[in-house]
Amino acid sequence: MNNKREREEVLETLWHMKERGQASVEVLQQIQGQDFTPAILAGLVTDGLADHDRNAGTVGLTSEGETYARKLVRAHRLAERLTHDVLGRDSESGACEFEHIVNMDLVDSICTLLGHPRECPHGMPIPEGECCRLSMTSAETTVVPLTQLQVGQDARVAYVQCADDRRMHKLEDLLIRPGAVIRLHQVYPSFVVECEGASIALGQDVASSIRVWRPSAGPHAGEGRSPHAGRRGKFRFGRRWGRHGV
Amino acid sequence: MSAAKRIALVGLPNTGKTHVFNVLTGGYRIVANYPHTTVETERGRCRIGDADYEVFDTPGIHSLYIHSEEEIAIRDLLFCEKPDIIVQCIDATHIRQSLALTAELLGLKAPLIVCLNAFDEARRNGIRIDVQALARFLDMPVVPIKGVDDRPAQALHHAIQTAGAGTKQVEYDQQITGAIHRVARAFPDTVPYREKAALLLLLRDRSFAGSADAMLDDAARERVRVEVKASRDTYPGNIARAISACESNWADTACEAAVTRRHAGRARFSEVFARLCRHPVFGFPILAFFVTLMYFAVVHVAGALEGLLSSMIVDPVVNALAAALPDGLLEDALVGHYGLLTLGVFNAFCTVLPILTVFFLIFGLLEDIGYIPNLVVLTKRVFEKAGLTGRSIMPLVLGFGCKTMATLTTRGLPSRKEKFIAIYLIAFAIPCSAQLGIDMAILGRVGFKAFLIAYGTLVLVEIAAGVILDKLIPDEARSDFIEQLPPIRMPNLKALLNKTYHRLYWFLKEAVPIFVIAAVALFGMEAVGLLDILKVALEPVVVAWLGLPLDIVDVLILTIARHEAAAGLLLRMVDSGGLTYIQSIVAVVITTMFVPCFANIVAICKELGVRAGIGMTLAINVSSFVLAGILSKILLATIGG
Repeated sequence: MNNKREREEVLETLWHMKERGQASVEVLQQIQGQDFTPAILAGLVTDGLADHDRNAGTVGLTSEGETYARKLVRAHRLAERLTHDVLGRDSESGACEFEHIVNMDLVDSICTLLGHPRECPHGMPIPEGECCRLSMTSAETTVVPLTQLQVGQDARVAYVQCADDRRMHKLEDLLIRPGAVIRLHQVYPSFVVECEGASIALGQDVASSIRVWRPSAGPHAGEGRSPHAGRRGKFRFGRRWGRHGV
Repeated sequence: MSAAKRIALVGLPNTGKTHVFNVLTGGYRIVANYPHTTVETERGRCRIGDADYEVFDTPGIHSLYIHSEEEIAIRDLLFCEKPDIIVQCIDATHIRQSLALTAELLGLKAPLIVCLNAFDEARRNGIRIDVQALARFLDMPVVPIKGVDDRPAQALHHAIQTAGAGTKQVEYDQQITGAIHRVARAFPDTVPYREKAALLLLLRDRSFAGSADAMLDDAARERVRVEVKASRDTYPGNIARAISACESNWADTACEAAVTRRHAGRARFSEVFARLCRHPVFGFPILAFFVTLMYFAVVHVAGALEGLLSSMIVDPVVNALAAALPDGLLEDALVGHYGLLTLGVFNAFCTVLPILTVFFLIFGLLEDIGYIPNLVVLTKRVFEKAGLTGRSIMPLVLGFGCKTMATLTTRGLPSRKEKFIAIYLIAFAIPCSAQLGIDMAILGRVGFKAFLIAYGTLVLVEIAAGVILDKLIPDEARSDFIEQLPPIRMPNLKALLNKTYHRLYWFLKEAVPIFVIAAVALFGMEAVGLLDILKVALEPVVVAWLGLPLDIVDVLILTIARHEAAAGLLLRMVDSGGLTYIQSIVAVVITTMFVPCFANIVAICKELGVRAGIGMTLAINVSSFVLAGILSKILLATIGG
């Protein structure tokens, strides 16, 4: 029976529900909608991936199921991060299929490429992988903290790595957000960046929570040509209006 | 009285709200090219056509979703006062940042007007804003204001008279819209802006959740809580992020509709200058240049003015009166050592006024250029040593303008430790602008080196105090350091003169009565012998410890009344050779640290409570005596007396 995709969707939903402290079958049905059939859940229970208590009406993941779902969710949210940061905004549709088709080595590579992000663009936590624990920040990382730029370099913001909603909002208010191009003006005594024509002074910890695409080396290095900035050319105030800019 | 419609001026920091307030009300409040010039909501009135309006000028906010306490006050103002018209001020050079707030304000569904400030500057920077297109897109009146001397009162009045609730709203996805409606329905009718309230709760605004709870009874609170939780839980992803994303998308679209940017050629002079001001190497010489410029202008230009006034007015009048009046009480009371005219009126008009005129002109120039906030970058590391991080640095830098205002800007600091240290340091060794001007004038009589010694000491004392406080007070979570720096702007002469005029006018209005009262009080104390008793009592401290002549007691008493009042007397003592080189330095250092001005003490009590305020004032006074004494001994030992 080839219903791998449906089974995995259920496992992912169960993970979501666990994050929110939900465990009722009704919620599962509600979220899954028409895709849900009792047979899939029964299949998962038989395979030892899920628990289903009919009397209490509760469902949950077994520890084996949890390991499986963790990988799926991690792949899904990393894919969202990737499409959101690289391609623009609406990432959900592409990312939906992603976790069903990739292998876990590839997921770790993407995670490393993105500098081990901790949240998907919707603010949900990305489960840690082996690569995050080893915390590889070798040359293969393409997304780097702002603090690693040279003075005078432009770079595009990939995401802001922080769990603090306030910092995220404050930076968003100043238009420091995924897709924005910022130029590093100064690193000492404090960081000063230019974003959308405004100069902003930042502390060390704030600056290192801003992750940017490493500007490519070569003749145009320092002119803000990230690998994705193909036809933007020269800019003073950064990208043109809108995040769909590229 | 209640018939007057209410207009609230809101906007991001440094977007010219106060300028619009001045245009509307015809009054004058200080405007400057830096954030937090306005720290408390100000109310004014105006009459347009036949209707009366009440106008609120509010401090800047970035968002209705709140980051700090001062922003809560503004949102509460919107929710409690429910203004009839909201005027949003936008800095045209940074229009996109402001449009995010516009998106949030639309949710209030109140009549909204947009003022585009710095319109000419934006044009020069290559930002072209199609006002008509913007007005069409926003569906609200848009009034461009070219610059600081543009006062388009008519256009504003017309916009206010015709403003109506627009039809434009940010479009959220269906699930968000549904959630907003469900939560809004759970509120009773009495809650203002129910949809906005619902949105803020969905955004997980903790501070708003508190005030929302206060507005609701138990049943409604529970209904709302359930709806909010249900909406958050069933939304795929984080609903708060999705809402912000919709709003920010909307602002992007608004910009696309009305704004075009040309590539602005080479880096403009103002940008280069801004960068140099903050530069770790070039920044300090520039700072030194401005301080030196100020020093020499105050010493020489103000000194010359003062001499002129003295020879043309003061001396003839004093001599004439002394000759005309019979020797005795009346002559002493008018033109004697503590005379009403000599120490009161002439001191204010002929000694202090010229100093402040020159000083305020230059200080106002630096304010309008936008130089001062750039100092946060240079001084950050120093202040960090003193336990100040994040948001507490800016208030300290602003302390050089007015200590009272700076104390009030600490309100937004989340950590009590940072707040305490910042307030203490602002009150302690930082001279306010008037004090700085006067210190320059006094030390100018003795030499530039004396100025450097005195101010070097103050800087050291300030850092030491910060380091000690940092060690004493247990650590707390530190706030983020994220400060938008104002753009460097070409100053406008007319606006600068206007500002200086008003500052001087306020000084005269507030200070002259105090000068006169202080002179009368001193004269009275001397007449009844109280002054002598006090001097005898203070002799060990003043003469033995501080190494100052006993007459300095008069100066200290005047300092309590008003710092500027002491300046005249101190200047006279220096001129008449009553103070040695070292004594002059010690006297300046102690009068700068001794007793924060009354308004500052009130502000401290307001922010930290009366007990802490009084305790802090005492601590400052005691330590100023201790430190000035130590300085006196060190100077005597090193450069000799």
